[in-house]
Amino acid sequence: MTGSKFVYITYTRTTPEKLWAALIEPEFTRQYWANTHQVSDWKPGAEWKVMIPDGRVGDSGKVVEFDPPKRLVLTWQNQFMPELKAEGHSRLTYELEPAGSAVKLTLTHEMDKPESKLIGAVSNGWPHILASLKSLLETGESLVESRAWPKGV
Amino acid sequence: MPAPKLHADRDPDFVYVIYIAASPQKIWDALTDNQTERAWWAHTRQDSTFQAGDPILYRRAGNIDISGEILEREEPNRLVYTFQSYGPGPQHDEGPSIVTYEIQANGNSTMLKVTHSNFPADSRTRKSIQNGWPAILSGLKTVLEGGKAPEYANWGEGEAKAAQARAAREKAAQQ
Repeated sequence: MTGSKFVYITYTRTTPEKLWAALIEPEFTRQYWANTHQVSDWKPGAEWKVMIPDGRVGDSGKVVEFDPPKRLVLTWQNQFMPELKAEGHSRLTYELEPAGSAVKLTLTHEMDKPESKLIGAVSNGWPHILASLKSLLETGESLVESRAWPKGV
Repeated sequence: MPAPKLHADRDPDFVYVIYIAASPQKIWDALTDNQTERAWWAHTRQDSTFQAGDPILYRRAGNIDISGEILEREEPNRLVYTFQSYGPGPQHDEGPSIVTYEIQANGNSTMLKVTHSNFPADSRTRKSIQNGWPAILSGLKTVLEGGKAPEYANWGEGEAKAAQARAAREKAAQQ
């Protein structure tokens, strides 16, 4: 079956433990991921959601695998854009591995549906979010334009 | 300089977008640096004037890795060149692929988009570059934001050989 898939690899000068914390902890995500934070008990089967600063749920799903600091798998359904929500659940995988003096992060966001609009949308969003995360961990400052939730969205 | 003939049956283009807290000009200057051995690019040095029609060579550990020709130049926003493994070998035999850099200001940072295209079906070159670009461009971002280029354990076979050659040269220099 032909699905939709977005893969992005980035290398950050940090430790797997710090990168892992930055992917899930609110005090980090608020700085690089449009002022959002995630809510979850972070164990397999647990609910998971991304909270927009105004209180709406941005995306939600379940934790499928939780193996710190190496591998995190989530199901993911958009909740704030009807057209994307209608596509149902996608699957997001983070894989972390040491690579010399850096940590390699491989993000895979996929859906069993050809030409998914959700995968199209996140393909534009992830490079910006992950670039800002890398800046935050390496320099202490995220990218300025990634810090606030966009107006009118 | 005409673009190379496109393969009729092609692997998908490789596209990588990264955002860097630096001006378009700083990114352009780093990508067209022809003076230094760039730690962020697997310790390669580029030989080129970066003028359309002129050649470009990547040298690593004294050997030529990649050769090509500059097709388009629009400082500081766009550079297009051909890219071919230096022969002989199966990657060389795939012929020239095409690298396009697009550099655009984006708020307080700059977007760099790299599109690598014109791979034949089941291309070995594409398998190699899809691992190389994320490592190279991650290192570029680190350096332009004030950090030290990462040394990767997995630059790939080419880098392993080059590292051996560097170590051998250093050893010889000490004796």
